[in-house]
Amino acid sequence: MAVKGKVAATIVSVALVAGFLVAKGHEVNRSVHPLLRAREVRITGADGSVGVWLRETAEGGSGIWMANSRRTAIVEAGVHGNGFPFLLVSDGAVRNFGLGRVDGVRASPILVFRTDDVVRMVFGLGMIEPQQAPFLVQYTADGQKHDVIGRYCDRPDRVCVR
Amino acid sequence: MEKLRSHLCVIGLSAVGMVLGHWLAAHLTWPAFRAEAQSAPTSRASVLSTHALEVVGADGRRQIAMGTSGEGSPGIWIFDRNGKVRLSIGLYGDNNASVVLNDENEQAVQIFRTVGAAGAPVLVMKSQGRDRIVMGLEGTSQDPFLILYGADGARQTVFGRH
Repeated sequence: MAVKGKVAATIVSVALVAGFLVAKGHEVNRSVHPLLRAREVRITGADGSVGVWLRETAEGGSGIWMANSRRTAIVEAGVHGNGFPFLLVSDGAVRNFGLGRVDGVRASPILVFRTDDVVRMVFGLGMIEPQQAPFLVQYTADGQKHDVIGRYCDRPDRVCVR
Repeated sequence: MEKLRSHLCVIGLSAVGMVLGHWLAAHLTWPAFRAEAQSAPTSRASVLSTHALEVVGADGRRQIAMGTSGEGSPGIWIFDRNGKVRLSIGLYGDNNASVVLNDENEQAVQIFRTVGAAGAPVLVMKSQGRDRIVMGLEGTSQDPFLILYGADGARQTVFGRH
């Protein structure tokens, strides 16, 4: 025998432990957790910038926020602190966007299109009357309102959504 | 010759040990995974795999859930303070995509989705569970349509066919 008993046992033992640890290391690296819980989740790009962010907001809502690395485009979806959900597709400064949201005491669905911080089109179901009639309004660049379908109350004091 | 036999013996014994180690690793499990990220708020990993992810608020309440729906497709659900799903993003069982905004009773109010094998984009706005506005591209022809429904269910085709 080229290797005696004790030495052979030691070699096998060391190799066994090494094999065990290597295998477990691979297992941990590729393991799939059944459930992960976190207060906040960030997915970062190769440059370290945050591309996706899931978290609770300061106002008590929560949402998911996504942006490109240059922050020129944003997608945000979430629930405001008052419980109303929203979906926003916008530029980095949120001056140009399409916004789907729910608003008003009757939880009316609304779509808003804004460019250069000026609302140009609003589409949805009425927020005042119980019938919640559909409406579509558009605004010219100088702010003139045109009711295409139904009527939309756009008072800035938001009296129409209370 | 004796030296060569000795080396071969060490290699052979090491191989046996490694195989045994791998076998043991495959049959012995670590304590069950239930990762709680609170204790490591800035943990980083290049890839983190999980069947389900929850983002919880400061009070421990579930705010966002990511996982697999009852239909076996992926989804994200965002909850309000009462634990109701107010916004969901995901895929239906037929692989069509959807974004759904709900009212406080978890009834769908605004739905952006694709429909059918052609994945035609459709927007639906609802009131009290009934469709009131349906617009999008018609499945076969992919022509645009806009249909309004009165509170009494009366249908008004603004343009197109659906």
